[in-house]
Amino acid sequence: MQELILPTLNEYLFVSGLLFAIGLAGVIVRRNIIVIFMCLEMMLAAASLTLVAFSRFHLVGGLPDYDGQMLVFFIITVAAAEVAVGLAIIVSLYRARQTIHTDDLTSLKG
Amino acid sequence: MPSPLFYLFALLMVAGGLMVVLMRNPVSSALSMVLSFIGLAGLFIGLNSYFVGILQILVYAGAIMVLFIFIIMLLDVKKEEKDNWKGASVAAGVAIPLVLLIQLAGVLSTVKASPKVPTINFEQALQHTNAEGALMYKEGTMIHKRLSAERLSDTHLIGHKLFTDYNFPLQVIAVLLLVATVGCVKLSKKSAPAVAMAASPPNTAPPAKSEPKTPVKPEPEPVVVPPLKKPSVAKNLSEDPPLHTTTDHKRGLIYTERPDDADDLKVISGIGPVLEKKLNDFGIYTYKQIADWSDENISEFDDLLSFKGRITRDSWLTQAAELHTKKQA
Amino acid sequence: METPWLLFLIPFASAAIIQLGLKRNAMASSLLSTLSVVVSFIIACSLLGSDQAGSWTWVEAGSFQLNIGYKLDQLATGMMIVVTGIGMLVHIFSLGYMKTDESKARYFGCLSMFMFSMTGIVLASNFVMMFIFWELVGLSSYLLIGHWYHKDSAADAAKKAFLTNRIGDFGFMIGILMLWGITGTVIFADMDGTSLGVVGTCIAGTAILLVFCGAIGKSAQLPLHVWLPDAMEGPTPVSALIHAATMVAAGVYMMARLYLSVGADMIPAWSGEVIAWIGGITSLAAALMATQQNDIKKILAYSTLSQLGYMVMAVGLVAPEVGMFHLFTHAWFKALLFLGSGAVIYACHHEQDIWKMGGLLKKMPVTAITFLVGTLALTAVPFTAGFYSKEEILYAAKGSPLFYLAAFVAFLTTFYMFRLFIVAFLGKPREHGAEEAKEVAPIMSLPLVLLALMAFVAPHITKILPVPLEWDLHFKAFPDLTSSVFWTSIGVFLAGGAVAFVLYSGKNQDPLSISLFRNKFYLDEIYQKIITICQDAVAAIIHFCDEFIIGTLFVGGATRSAQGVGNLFRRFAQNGSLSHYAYLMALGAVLVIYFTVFA
Repeated sequence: MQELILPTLNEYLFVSGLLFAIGLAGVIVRRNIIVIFMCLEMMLAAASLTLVAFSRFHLVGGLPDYDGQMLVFFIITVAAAEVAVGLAIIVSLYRARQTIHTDDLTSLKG
Repeated sequence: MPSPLFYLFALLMVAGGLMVVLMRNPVSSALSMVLSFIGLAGLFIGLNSYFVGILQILVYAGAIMVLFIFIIMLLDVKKEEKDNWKGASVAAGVAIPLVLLIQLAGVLSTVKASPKVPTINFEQALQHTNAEGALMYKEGTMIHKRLSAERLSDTHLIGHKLFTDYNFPLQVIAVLLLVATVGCVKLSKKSAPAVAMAASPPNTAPPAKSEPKTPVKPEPEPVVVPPLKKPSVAKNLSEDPPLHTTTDHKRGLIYTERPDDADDLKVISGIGPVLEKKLNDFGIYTYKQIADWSDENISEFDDLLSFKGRITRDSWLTQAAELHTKKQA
Repeated sequence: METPWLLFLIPFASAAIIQLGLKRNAMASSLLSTLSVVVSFIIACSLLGSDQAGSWTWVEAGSFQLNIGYKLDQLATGMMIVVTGIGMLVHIFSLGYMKTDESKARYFGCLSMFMFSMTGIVLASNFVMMFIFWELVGLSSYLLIGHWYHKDSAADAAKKAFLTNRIGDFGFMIGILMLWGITGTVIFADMDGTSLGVVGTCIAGTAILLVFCGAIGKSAQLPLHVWLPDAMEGPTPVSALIHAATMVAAGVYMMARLYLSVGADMIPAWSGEVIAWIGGITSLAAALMATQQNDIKKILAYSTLSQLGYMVMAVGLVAPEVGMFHLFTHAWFKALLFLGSGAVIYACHHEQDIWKMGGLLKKMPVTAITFLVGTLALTAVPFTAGFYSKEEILYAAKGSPLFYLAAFVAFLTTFYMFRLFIVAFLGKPREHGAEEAKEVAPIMSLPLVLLALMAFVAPHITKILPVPLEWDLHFKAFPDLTSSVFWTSIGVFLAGGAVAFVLYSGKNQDPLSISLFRNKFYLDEIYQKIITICQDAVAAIIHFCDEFIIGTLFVGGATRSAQGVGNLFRRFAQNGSLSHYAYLMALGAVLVIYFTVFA
């Protein structure tokens, strides 16, 4: 049992990067606005995993450096607010355009 | 946490993420997201960050994803067709994250030795002094008790930090949440309905909408629902314009061809360019047609456009009648 | 202050004073100008035979120096007598001729200016100074031809004269620079002809010919002769002074000066040939054109052209002393002829067409007799001044085909001069103006008489001959009756006179009508065409460059490429698709990471 192989920092970072990459792929590939938004949230979550990992691996006074976890706390809060407002916007958009398909939402063209 | 558990939760998280991206049904995507967040929470807890882990489940998986699912259901989002995934964007969407990952791997490989998890040193924590020289965690506090018992109560520690060092950001966050709430309420309000317009006297109506604007042709978009065109024999009714018209008993008066006095249907609140195009495909071009719809017509178009009562809800007929009388004037 | 400087200063002062102060007072300006010329003449007489030189440094830059100075020798002093003497007589004549003119002061001011410039050319000690005064003479000629500038034809003629001169001066300048390069100096006294031999006949000949270009312009040789007939738009005394006696002779004088400095035998033979043939062809063409002109001044103008051709031919045949001698004699009798025609024009109320005159011999005897004297001198009747100089030219041309050319031209000269005399002076008056002609005032007839005298006497006053002593002018007072040249010239004279008499006596209109001659070989029209074509071509090229190369290629190209690049990026980056924007952002992030971390 003493020979437990514990994951190192690199592994946490890699996994977080992987999640971020998947979220990025979703944002680029998907056409549905709501799913794009979800993938965006996934990217935020990946970032918070990185922060928590660093927080744990860096000790201040024998304890994990809670500054990172503070930031994650704020990130989660802000993400929540952002999702609320973003979805409200999407609803208004749907009311105006009757579509949530990004191929139809091209008024930024030009 | 021991490696197997780490890999399990990591796998869960990544699998959930992949399913979010790959699944066509938005509800499935949302639920996979919840799965992914659960995996993430597991990873957090494995990092001795219990508070953040629970917060993740409560707020993210609990509140945010629920909100997502609500909205999906509200908007009645359909499955995305697989054909819509363009080759170019798929290629880009695969290539760019791949490059990102390669870069990350490159960076990580330069580190000689990846840092191992440091053990938590409780004695050192107990003696930790702050800037003035006094003990951080005073005797008799809960934190002190827990630390002496060699238990990491990170909730208390986070709270300690939050309310001392991060007090101001906390207040700001609170204000932010308030602002977000107000904003959401405002954004989700419906715009002023057409009923109010009909009640007001005609000359206070906004003059900008009096002349029918030439409808701006939207970009050629892939029409999801193919229009049901039934070419019928043209029957000229006495008061109809001499263009090609038919009267379908279920749909009312429809044109088989765009007339010269076609109106801008987007002016009606609730009709956007996509909907207008669909209506045009069905032969509806003018305010008069909409205003003359009978209940049967309304329910027919409701079915055709899958509106589920929106026509009455948004008072299309009153708006159309109002616009038509203004046009005549 | 040395005396020769006064020759510069007096006419310059006269011109300056008239221009600055006396513009309103015509009488005072005319008297001042005439007085200045008389004083100059006296000084010039006093300087006869002297050999001085003087100079004043004008520009000095390191070892390079340009001087303003004078160089007196027989060539210069003789020429000064011609210039100031004829100038004096013309001024006196003008007092009468221009009596009723409204801008007398301006006229006399310009005349003084001309005297100053001509003096500068004659006394110049170096080429650069001569060039400066060359241009000044051109300017004075422009001002004087265009004296009646309200007339469009006069203004155009003045412009034509100046521009044609300018073209000649362009070659002149290049020639001066070449000579400067070859001989190392521009000062006449320092020029050494041996350097011309060193540099080879090709380059030396080219330099000489380019310098001669100036003479082509100033002395109105083919192809730049077109300005001289048009210059008759100016007042007749001006034509007499400038366009007969002095300015047009400046070209020949300059060539003589050049030959004197460099050494007449150092001139390459081929350039001499070219010069002689240009002179010969000019004299032939001019004589042909003169046979069909009807304006008295135009006939005399073409006659001047023809005689200038003779002088240039002589210079080209490396007998510059003969050319200068003919210049000398020609100046006197041509001035006489012009002033005589001026008197005739004045008397006939400014009528210039010979077919509207007639019977003037009875009405204006003094004028007619002096005019006849001038005609005889021009046609080289023995014992007149013209006889001696033309003989010398024929001698010099003997042995080359130019001799026959010169003889034929002498025939034509006799022909058209007697045509002129017979039509204008003999017979009955044909028009109202000729009917009322009467003899002119003494102030105008006195110069005529004096000039007629000079037409006989001039060659014998060897002291005033502008022929340097180094050159050998074998002047024989009595003609050599044995030489074929003598009998040739007698023969052509008699033939020309006879033909003219037969064709023209008693006629009231011209029996011959050769439009090619009358229209001056259509040269003016040809030049006009050429100039128009060249100008249009150059304009078209520039237009092309401007519009296509600069406008469309560079400016338009820059615009279009900026637009194109912009469009490219716009189509690529702003196509409205959300996923495309996300992709671009991600790409940017990846690139930033690459460049900050890995590169």
